[in-house]
Amino acid sequence: MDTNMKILVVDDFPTMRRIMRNLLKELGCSNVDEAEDGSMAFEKLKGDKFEFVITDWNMPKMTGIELLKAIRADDALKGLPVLMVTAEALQDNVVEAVQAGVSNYIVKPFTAAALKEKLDLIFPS
Amino acid sequence: MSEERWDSVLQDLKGELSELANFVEKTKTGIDGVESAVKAGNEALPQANDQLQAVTIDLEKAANTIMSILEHVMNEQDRAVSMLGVLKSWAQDLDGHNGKEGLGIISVLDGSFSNMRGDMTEILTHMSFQDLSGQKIKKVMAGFSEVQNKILELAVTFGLQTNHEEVTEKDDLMDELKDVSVSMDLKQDIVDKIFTEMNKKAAT
Repeated sequence: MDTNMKILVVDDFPTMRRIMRNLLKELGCSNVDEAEDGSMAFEKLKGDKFEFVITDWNMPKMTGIELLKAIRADDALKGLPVLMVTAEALQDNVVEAVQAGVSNYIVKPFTAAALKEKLDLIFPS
Repeated sequence: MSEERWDSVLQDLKGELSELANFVEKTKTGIDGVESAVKAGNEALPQANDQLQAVTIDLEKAANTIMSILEHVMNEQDRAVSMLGVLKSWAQDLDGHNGKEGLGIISVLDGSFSNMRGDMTEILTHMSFQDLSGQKIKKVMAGFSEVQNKILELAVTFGLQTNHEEVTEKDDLMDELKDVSVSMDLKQDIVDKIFTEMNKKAAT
């Protein structure tokens, strides 16, 4: 995993964004930007070059699954790895996310080890 | 119709009207009960909503304070680890017993720092409780909002006023409630009049 890659963390809860930013820092990734909903995230993705997106599911304006679908439908962004981090652990949610092309899926609350494991799966060395 | 038969019809009618009056009275009592429930619900639900909102804000403040302290401790630890690196290189340059002992102590400290780092990272991940509990509280608040809307619908259906208005509008509310009572009394008046008319006819 390239620890210099630019990562976008999307969550409507500032606490959660802060946790994720700190955990990524622990894994050596400090090039992190934040967005508080899918709509803001999509704007940032269109305006700047990001290499990885970590998104929550439940958010106002544009949800995580809508953001994922928008990314996959966009020619310039469709190859972007997206990790869904959410409290929505229902089978239907997971199936929908997988069908929409999610790179991996973490259920809250999660451990730093779980995050590292998913990152290693998305970015194999 | 014979006088006996007429009396019997009147008796039946009186009975029917009496039942009707009872029904009207019970309905009125029922509506009064609904009214107080609507008023209580309309007061209690926004209060509960405000309390939950306050809990959410307090949780967020507490979580942010804990995380700020945690970030500070982690930064301090980063500094300590980097200084430990310097000490290690000094110890490596030392010959003999002092060098070995120094490296041994540094190694213990290194392990201790590493364990502490693991614990701090775990505390950090557990701070997600604020997000998770916040989401649950949001759902409860949405439920309250739905119940409040239903109560308002009920109020509209029964033509009741709620306590949603400002205190200045309370007089209007009382007038309105009086109107409801008056309209119910009016119905009772009609029943009484019917009784009177029927009794008059029976007497003649």
